[in-house]
Amino acid sequence: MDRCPQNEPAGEVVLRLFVTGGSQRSLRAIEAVQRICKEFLSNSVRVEVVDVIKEPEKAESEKILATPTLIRQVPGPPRRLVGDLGQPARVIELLGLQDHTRRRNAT
Amino acid sequence: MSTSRLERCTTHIPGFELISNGGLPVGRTTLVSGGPGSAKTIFAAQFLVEGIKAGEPGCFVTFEEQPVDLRRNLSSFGWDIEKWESEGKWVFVDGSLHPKDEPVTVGDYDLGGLMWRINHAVQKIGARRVSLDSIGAMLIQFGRPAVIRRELYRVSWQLREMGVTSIITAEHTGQTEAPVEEYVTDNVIILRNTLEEEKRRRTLEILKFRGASHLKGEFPFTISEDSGIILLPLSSIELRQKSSDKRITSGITELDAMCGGGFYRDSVVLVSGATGTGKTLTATEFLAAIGGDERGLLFAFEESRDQLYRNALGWGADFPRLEAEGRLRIVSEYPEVAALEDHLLRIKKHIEEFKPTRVAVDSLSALERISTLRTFREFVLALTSYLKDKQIAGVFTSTTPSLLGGSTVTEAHISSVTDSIILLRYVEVFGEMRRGITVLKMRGSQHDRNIREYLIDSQGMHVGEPFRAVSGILSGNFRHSTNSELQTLQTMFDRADADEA
Repeated sequence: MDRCPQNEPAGEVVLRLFVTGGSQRSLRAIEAVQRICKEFLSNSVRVEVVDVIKEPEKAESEKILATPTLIRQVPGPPRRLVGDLGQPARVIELLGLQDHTRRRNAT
Repeated sequence: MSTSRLERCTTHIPGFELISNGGLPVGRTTLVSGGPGSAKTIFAAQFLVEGIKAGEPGCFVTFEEQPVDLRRNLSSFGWDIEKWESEGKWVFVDGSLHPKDEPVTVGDYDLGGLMWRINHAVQKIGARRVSLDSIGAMLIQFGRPAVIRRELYRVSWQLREMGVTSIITAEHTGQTEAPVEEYVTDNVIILRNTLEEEKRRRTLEILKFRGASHLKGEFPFTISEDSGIILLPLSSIELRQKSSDKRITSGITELDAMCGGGFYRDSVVLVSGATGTGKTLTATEFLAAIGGDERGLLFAFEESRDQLYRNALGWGADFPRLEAEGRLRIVSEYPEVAALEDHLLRIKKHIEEFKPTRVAVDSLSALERISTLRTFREFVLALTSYLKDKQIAGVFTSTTPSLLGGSTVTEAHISSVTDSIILLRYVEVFGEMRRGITVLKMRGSQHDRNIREYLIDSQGMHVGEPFRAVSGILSGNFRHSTNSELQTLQTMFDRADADEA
């Protein structure tokens, strides 16, 4: 994973979203991330959804307490967001993915 | 779930079952609340440790210290957590905050991650006990009391569904409880570590066990280096005492007679007197009188072993030989080396090792110096109960501060606890200092009500005739009666008595 240099704007981005089954908050978060990717982010962003009920070991190794938790795994160092991610602009800003938005890529 | 009788989870924390009437309610969550340094984490860990020793695996959820620190810190109690982890008896769920991973909140969340991790860990090793330490650290991480409250409720509900008995620790600052606590659980235990008269005092109180009985009030506890928390439940042991009518000799023939045939085998006798009246002698005679299969144990807080040897030899008791034969053990310590609670533990340990039939403590007053009145009273109660429970005869000495008459604070607080009280007093008779002994109290037995003179020589103590012409000995305000007065008194009450005289 460390083959992706942090400051390369067009580099690969890996997001991991930890959710608990089909709870309201989880569904909202999944929807929010999908929407953000579709509407705002370029194709270089990959999202992996982890259901901690099915894969508790993954939650354990990432020490997940709150769900939903969104982790920007790549580029490192990781950043964590907790909540149902209702504000797309804020999410993008907090993840530091301004460089990966479609608008910017288009211009 | 709403059965009338709650099943209990035997914690195996020494003394806890006594005050909780059998342990923690099974399948429930108990909140353990306390201020900083009140041993919450130790309690939470020990709950699991004792479970493991009894064959019940445990899960420790930490929000504060990291597992690596807990393993190290708790190893000082001889708890090899790493080994238990490798054996599948202990599992950590690490919820401690790593500064680098500090999350930013965007919107609504729950602690589902935590919940399912606990669930997973519990099922992985078949845990029967879970400890969560502590709510305060969670609040710092998430800062939303309402969310924490809701989530803790869900966690404890889930643990209950799994039939797991659990503990959640919480910081307790000041008088009122934090708002989070009340909603989380039906059972609340409070740990306190207070400073009383410049002395540390640790206590545990069960505030509530919903639908289950428990003893009320604060119970002192101590933290032992090799086994963690040990509660000293006082009143509860007291109730279970059986009593013996077997008599043993005090070592002084005349004193036996005064007591109606010796001390009871399981009784505790308080010997009170000013310095130099022969308290240590009384204790020495008591121990030197051990019969064939008896053993004596002396806790000396005033004199060194050498001094005690010399004194005893001077009164005709061969302590060095008795000790060499393994029939006597002398433990000589400065009272200041430990807190009173720890002295109690040490005393119990010696008793368990040596299995004496007689125990003497010389003197209680020296121990009183190092504690608060309340702790001291609890100590005497606990020791007395312990000796009686083990059917051991005890002699405690107590020094009165004034040379003549008077009583001590010690006595005022413990006289009701001991079975018998023997007073040794100086008596001034026409310008000469003599010594008098009397049995003030002898529970369950007739006893001599006279104040008798006694002498001390190279053979020990010799009790003689009653003082007839002196009154006011106990108060120290002596009054000498003339012969004519005496005769009047004697004829006034009992002609037979007068004839004898």
